[in-house]
Amino acid sequence: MVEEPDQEIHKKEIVGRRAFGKDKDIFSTSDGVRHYKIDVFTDKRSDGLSVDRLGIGEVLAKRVRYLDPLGVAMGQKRGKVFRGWAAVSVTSIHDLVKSTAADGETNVLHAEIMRGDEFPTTRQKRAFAYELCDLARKLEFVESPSYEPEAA
Amino acid sequence: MMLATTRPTVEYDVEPDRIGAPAFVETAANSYIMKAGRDPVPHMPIVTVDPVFGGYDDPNVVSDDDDNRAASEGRQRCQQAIFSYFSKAMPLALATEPLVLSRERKNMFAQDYGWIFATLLGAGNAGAFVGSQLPATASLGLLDATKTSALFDRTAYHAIQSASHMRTMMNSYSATLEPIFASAGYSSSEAYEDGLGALVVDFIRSEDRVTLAIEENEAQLLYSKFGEFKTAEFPEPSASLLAVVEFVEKNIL
Repeated sequence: MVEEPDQEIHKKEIVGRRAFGKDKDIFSTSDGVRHYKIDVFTDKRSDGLSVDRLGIGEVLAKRVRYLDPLGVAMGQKRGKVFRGWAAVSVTSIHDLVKSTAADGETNVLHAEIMRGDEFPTTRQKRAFAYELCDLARKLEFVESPSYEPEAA
Repeated sequence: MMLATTRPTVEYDVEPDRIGAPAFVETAANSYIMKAGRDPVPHMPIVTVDPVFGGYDDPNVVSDDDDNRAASEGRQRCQQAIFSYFSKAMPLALATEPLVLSRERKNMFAQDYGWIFATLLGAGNAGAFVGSQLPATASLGLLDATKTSALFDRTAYHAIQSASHMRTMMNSYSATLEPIFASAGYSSSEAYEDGLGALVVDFIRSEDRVTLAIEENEAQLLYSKFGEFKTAEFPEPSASLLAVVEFVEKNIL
């Protein structure tokens, strides 16, 4: 069992947005350079964008092992293989990230990027997603340990 | 032949003046029929969106409160098949308006469409139904085989119509913008849905990225300049293509 972290999000914390499907579902690619697709950082909820707390300053393997079955289960519900996390350092968006209870699962590492006040309209949420895509490119994609490319 | 009352919004492979929309639909549908090893259907009937169908005045629309579970599940399966077809399987080059048959007109159609429907449902989803045929053919087949016009609820109907409309617009934008971006070294992604109601295409050149989002009532460009994120919005995307092109050339490339 993973240790429950402080409620307060650390400024150097790394959070991950779960990503599902094959490469083409997650990335737009040109000459081997990968950019996240906008929909990795969007959802239909009006406010928070669910993320997992992967570690402070680095991605912790223990947390990945704890979170992986949750991602796999979510993938099964969606009919898509769980691929891993688009990781983002919260440093530049720290004020927007809050530790919250997860919907539909027990997850002590759940947090949300709160968009409701700062980005109330659809086009603002899309623009913010674009920024998050760029932010996520600064860190490596965190592959799910249970992901098997040939089974995808 | 029954004539269409509106023109399908298709990107023609041939000059529209030389081949009218009805003939185009007929040709495309028969192309699929022949591919499937059957004889062409002479005088292929052509249907278009009935102005009443799916509207609030349409008495044939099935309510979501329908308590007939089998019928409801069957309808849902058909809707999913059609929606999947329109939103995922349909190549952009074939984007068109969904063509839907009203109950009054249904009986006017030959049973030649029955096998198309059987093919669709036999495959389990409309994704297998790609290539040379038009969505109209799929819709007709589905409607014919279910022997009902009350196939869609309003939500599904309008979702299909909206998705199709956006694909048509994106088709125009992509055809115009791709060569412009390509000349500056950008490659473009396939169009995809962004989860916020828009169709999106990414133009990428190594670390640079420009994202074009088309919503029903707005086009949005997302880009960064000197490290700063920028967004530009254009209302009425069906009339804004030239403005977007001008903006891209002046401010992004």
